[in-house]
Amino acid sequence: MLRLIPLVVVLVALLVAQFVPAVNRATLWLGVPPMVLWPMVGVALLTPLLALIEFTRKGDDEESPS
Amino acid sequence: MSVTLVVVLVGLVVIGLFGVLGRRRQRELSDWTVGGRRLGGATMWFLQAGEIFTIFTFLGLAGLGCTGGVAAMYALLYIPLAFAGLYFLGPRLWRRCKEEGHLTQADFIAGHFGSPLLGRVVAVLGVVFVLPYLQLQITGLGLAVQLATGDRASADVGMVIAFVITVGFVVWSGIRGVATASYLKDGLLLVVLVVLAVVIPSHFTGGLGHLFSRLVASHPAALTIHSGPNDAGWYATSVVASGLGILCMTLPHLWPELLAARSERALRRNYVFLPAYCLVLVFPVFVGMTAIGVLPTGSDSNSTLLRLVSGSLPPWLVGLVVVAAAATAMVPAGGIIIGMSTLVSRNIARTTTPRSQFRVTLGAVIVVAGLALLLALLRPDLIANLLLLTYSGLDQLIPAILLALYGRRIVGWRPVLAGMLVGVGVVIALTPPFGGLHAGHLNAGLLALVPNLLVVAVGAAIERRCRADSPSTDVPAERVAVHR
Repeated sequence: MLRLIPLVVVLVALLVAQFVPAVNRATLWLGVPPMVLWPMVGVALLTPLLALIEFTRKGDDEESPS
Repeated sequence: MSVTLVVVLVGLVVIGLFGVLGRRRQRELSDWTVGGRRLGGATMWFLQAGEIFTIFTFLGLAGLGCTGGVAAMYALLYIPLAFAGLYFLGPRLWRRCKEEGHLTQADFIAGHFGSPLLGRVVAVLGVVFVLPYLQLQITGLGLAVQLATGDRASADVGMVIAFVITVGFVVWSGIRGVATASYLKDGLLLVVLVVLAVVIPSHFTGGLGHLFSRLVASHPAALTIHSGPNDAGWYATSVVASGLGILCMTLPHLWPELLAARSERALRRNYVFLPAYCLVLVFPVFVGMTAIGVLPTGSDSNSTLLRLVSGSLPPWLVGLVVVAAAATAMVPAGGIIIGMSTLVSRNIARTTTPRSQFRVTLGAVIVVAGLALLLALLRPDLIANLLLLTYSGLDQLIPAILLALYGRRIVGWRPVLAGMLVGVGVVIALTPPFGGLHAGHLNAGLLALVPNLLVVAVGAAIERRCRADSPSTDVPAERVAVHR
């Protein structure tokens, strides 16, 4: 369950971005609008966080052609 | 014949050849629809990644980037969020469908609730709501050809040729043909999008850095979610409603792609890497934002990307961009046609043998694709409004799918069917020009889920009450196979 916490944090952060005044404003962070950079960083984090869950799971479903 | 049109026509034929090359031996319908459930990780990747980029994401996102600014980023959110959720739900769904022999969304729901009638209603809703989505691919392809060649007749020729080719490789190769065409489509699309995201801002504004600095100074509202048609309510509810729709597999054409996986592991690993691929969705948004202040106010938003392309690239490269746009229409259209035709043969038409079911499926391919093409050519506006109902209407299948996925039959089919129909009715009432109720900028599909769920809950309570009064009417616990 602990492995899920970072994923949940990122999911929530992605969903609330437009309600965070510091993010939803006409300025630039590293030359990019925050409302563009925030989702990009959040989405970029999803793959490593899912990979962490996938590659540390104790699976029992060996690949087998049907 | 212009250089652009020649490149486009050659490109369409090459896409078709890739589709034809995907054919493998087909002994039964499941070989054609879900590749015999034997597709490995790489093929699954291209198949599912191929569904991310439809003609809407290519042309529509650039248009939304132009009219709504950063509001277009909602597409970058809902698709990867749904994939993150499908990492957990997808394998469970795949396992259930494999064990019970399901090929369609309606099979799964009908099988769980033991009701062919419920399956038939789900199939009809799926076909009716997805037909406009198929027509959208054809119309978008015609728009791309028309903008590149400046000729309406070329657009009609392009639409007909592209869809004859698509139907051809779909009938010949089934889902494997869609997968091999996706190889070409995704490769071409990645190259084209990266080139466009660099070249177009450089040509018109001096680069991405200058673009954003210019927007901060001249159009600051484009960099925020602000009041208007794309306000915070629209943004949040669109992300949630669209994300739930994909997460809960409400679009029937997503099912064959999921069910085609060879194993749960192949599916899970696909969902691990798909969110990273979704990052390329920012490129059409950047291209669209470049158009702010460059194209005249009031320009057709769907033509934003191709207008900028025509003004900055040589004709042969414009042709290549149109081929990429055509691929984003043809490949998803192939998947949509497979999903719809399988619904028709498995859940709507009455067939007696596996062989006749296969024949009906192939016949349905020609009928649904032909119908969508005819409507695109003759009455492009006729079902354009229906498209407004596609996502919101299909969201009303969420309770049925989630209850079926839960495994135990805690509700019978009657409350689920009633809730679904009430939900669809509310969506119609909340969606102009069909209904007169006003939902503001909130997503009608999400709002309609509330009465949908209430009806299911009340119906379930009544069922329990009846069962308590009369034990003999108890709902059987086991799932029933309701299809051949």
